Amino acid sequence: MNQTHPTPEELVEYLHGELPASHDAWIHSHLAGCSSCAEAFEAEASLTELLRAHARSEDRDFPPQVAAAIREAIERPRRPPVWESLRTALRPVVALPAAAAIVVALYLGINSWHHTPAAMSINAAYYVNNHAALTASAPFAEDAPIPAMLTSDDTAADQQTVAR
Amino acid sequence: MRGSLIAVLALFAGNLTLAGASPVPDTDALLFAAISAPVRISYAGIVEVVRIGNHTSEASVYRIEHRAPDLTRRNYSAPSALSGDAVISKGDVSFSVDARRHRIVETRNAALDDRIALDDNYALLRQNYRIASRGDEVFDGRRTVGLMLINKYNRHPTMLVRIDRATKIVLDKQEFAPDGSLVGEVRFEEVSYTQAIPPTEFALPKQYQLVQGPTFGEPPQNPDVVVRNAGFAARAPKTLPEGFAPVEGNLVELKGIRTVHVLYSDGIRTVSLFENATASKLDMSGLQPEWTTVGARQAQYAEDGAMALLGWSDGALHYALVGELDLTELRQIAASIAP
Repeated sequence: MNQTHPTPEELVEYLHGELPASHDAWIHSHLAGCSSCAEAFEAEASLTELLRAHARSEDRDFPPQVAAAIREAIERPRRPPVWESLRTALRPVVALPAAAAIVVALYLGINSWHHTPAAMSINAAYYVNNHAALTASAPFAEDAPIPAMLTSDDTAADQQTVAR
Repeated sequence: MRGSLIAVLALFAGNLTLAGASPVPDTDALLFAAISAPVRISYAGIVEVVRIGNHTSEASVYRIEHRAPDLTRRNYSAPSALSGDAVISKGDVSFSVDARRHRIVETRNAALDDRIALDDNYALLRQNYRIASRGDEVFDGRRTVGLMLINKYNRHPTMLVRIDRATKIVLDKQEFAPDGSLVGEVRFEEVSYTQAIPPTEFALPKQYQLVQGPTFGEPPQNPDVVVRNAGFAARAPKTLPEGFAPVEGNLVELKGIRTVHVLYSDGIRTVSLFENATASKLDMSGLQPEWTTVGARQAQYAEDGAMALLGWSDGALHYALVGELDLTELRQIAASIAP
């Protein structure tokens, strides 16, 4: 290391224990043998202690509801950012089965779309004819004046009683 | 028990026939004898039928030949579109002989043989209608007894039947709306009674193609059984016109859509409720549908002659009500069908 004295910023970081171990050790040994740097360090340490003392003297509790809200925010499970969720979803172990499921769903969806008719249209005559058929057992029932089977091209053969 | 009731009443009816010009018999027995008379009596004549609706009406004229118990042929002479056509019935099978299309459409309706339903309907009729005799009359040259059926709840005359005193065949039947207007009439003319109608009269023409028409399957079931077997949570109305009760039903597939059909009756008037769980659209083409509401939902209403039809959906189920009721009654029934 070509550096002869630590910079003031390095002394601050040393004071707060934020330096890598090797750098921290070098400054520690340097302060032991360099009085000017030791004085600068002591000044920084004093200033830090002064600020902490001042902060303690001015210490005020948060209003209870603010503290509760902060605690709740801390304890609430963190929602991952969108990009993080996306990255997780795209991991191969998740993405491959998901892709397969999408392919299958698309296949089935398209298939059923092709095979499921839109809302079926039922002619009102079906209901009227079925009603007339069941009322044949009513007293004095009679056939309709105009028999449906003689007036329509449709023989309505596409209806059947459900087997029981 | 019902069978024996029918037998007793039929025997009583037979005695009445033998009695000839005796005093007007018990109206209840006479009415029941009239219902069952075609099983015993063969006849021929001209029949005029008219059904009167608010928007459209239908009428037809045909010659009828009936050989007891269950062979009937109707040869149509009017309207002109039916001229030359015929309907031949043998028990629960009907053959519609279509001269224009050179085809015969075969349909089967098990309800025609449903004695239990007939008895249930008759019990409802007696429960809900009072019989008022109009005494002896002469109709088409024959002595008849006129019976008016009066609704016990609204006290409106609903049906008038003129019954041949000798044979108990109904020679004239008139139906009335609650406001007294005529809704429909079936009347005989030139009626004659004979056992000499040869079976060949009921033969099918051989040169026509036989086509399978709709089949109404096995005998109708108890409505509760039908609803249980629906395959979906079918719903029943909580409100019906006074005197109405569920009498029978069946499960039918209309274009592959499983549909519950329950018939409600008061003995004379009837209404059917159809419901299914498959998205379906009610096609009222050929009618004059108009929009109305069932509760907060839109509904379609149309009349087909004297028949009214109301269709709507609640999102989960799709419904149609069909019957000779007015729009107000249909909407009241529909609104009471709630999840």
